[in-house]
Amino acid sequence: MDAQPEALRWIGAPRVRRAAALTRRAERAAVRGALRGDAAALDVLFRAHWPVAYRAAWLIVRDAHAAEDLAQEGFVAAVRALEGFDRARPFGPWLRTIVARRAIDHVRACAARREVDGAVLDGVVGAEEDAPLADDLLAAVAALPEEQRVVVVLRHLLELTPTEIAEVVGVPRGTVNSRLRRGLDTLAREVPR
Amino acid sequence: MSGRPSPLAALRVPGEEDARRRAWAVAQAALAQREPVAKRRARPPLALAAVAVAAIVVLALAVTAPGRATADWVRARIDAVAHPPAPPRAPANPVPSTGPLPGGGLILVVNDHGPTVLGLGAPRVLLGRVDAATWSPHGKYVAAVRGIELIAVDLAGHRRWSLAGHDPIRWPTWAPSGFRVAYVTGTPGRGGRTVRVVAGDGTGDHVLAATGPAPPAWQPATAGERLAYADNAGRVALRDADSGRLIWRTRGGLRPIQLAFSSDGRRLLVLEPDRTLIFNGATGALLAGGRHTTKSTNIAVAYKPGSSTVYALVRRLRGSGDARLVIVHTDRHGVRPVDFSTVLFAGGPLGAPAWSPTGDWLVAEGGAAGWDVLHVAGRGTDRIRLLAPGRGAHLAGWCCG
Repeated sequence: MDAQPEALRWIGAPRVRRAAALTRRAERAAVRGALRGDAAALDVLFRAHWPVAYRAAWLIVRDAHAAEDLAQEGFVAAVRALEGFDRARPFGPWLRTIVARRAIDHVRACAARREVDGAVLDGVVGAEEDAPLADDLLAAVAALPEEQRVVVVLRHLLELTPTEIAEVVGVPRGTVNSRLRRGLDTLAREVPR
Repeated sequence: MSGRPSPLAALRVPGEEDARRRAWAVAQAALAQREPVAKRRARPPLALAAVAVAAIVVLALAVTAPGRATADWVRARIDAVAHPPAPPRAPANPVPSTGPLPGGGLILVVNDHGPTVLGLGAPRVLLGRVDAATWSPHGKYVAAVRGIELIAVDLAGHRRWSLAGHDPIRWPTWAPSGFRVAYVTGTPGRGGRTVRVVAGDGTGDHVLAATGPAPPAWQPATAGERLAYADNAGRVALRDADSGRLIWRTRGGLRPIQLAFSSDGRRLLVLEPDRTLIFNGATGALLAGGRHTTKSTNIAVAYKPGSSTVYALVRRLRGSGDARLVIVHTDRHGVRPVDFSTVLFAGGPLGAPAWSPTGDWLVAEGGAAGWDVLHVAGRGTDRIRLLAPGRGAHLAGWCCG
């Protein structure tokens, strides 16, 4: 099942585009440049992929400091591992998978330590141009139960496939799809139309 | 997935901008630590262009104020300015070379490469990119801030200690004794800013007080460690940095942008955007409240070393981007200004000034083309040198003759 979100469809396309959507060709050039040590090329990759990695980490762990660490460490790990990166593949999903794995590990580690989330929605802010919509959506996603929130974020923010999500989360693909469905249904109920 | 971006991709989550800035600095550092897989080709056209631009800059400085008056003294170091900016990943590449400083000692700048020491013969980059830095009193160490991290590093670039907080750190300031470092952390909307103090060896980090939007200042030449800061009510207070004991506090309503003690600690200058106020450093009594100015905005101030009657003041002219560097002489009590000497007009912004350790040279943070280092003679200047601080540079201090 491809859980293309019927529940999200009515929310509409975001008015704020991603900061720097890269073509595959531009991304490959940026990776080559970064391999040569070119900071400008690294900047291209950073602008294109770090924001999504940070937002995903934040939505998964719901803690700004932890999210910053996870996104930062994930990006740095990717930079350090560039030599081993298969340049035939896109950089973005590779980075996102790194961050996703780290974020999920963090959540599990917190659960093992019985950490309690704070009032994380106090500081929720919206996107610059569609703040009310983004506020509601952000709050609704952040309020989803963890197992649903993780798969919704991995699917619809990091754009992992259900098979990839199943591998990252460590559950069967059918479980991923059912969690996705429940999460999207909840969003459809909670986010004002 | 469809080709249409998800609505989730447009969300902004808390702390993103600050986190992005810190993450980029760390990512650059990570890139710098990698061995490049292929060397870059030389780019002669760019190098030639840089030389040409530098020559134009030098020519412009020679024929315009202040260079016109002292053109013979302008010794723009073409090779220094003309060096193409070194990429952040390669600190070994040339940061503009400066050679010995005209006033002796060492100047600390924070440029795109990191905290950089000028005056050692060749610029020395101590760390990767940082947000701010400050000298230890004897110039043996530098305290630098990178996001939420405060790092003490020696002049060989070795980390001596570091600490990390939960919020971005600003305005590190090393006490004149060398035994304490103060810094400000926190944000106004989230628990407020606090000034914190840590021992010079990185231990004993503690909160001293809530503070407002101005850097704290250590009182020199006093027993104990005393720190002045401005609070959110517009009051300036002096506290013992270890016990937290309040020594004095002014009345509220001030709008300080900078606090500066004279080197004997007897005078505290509180700089507001449109006036300067002089307080008694021992009692907190207001001694002189400067007139409000309407034609210019105060930017930064620095007392001359060894003096409580002379200070340098940077002002920006309202209605234009021009700035001027003024040397102010006060009466013998260090209270009332008696003479204002403009020693530098700039056709662009000027930042913080700093005096050489001997007090006879003065540098003001200027544009990317170079900073003027002025030889101060009496109430004017008689020589100007050009300092190449590196791209994106901010002046962090001039230390230790």
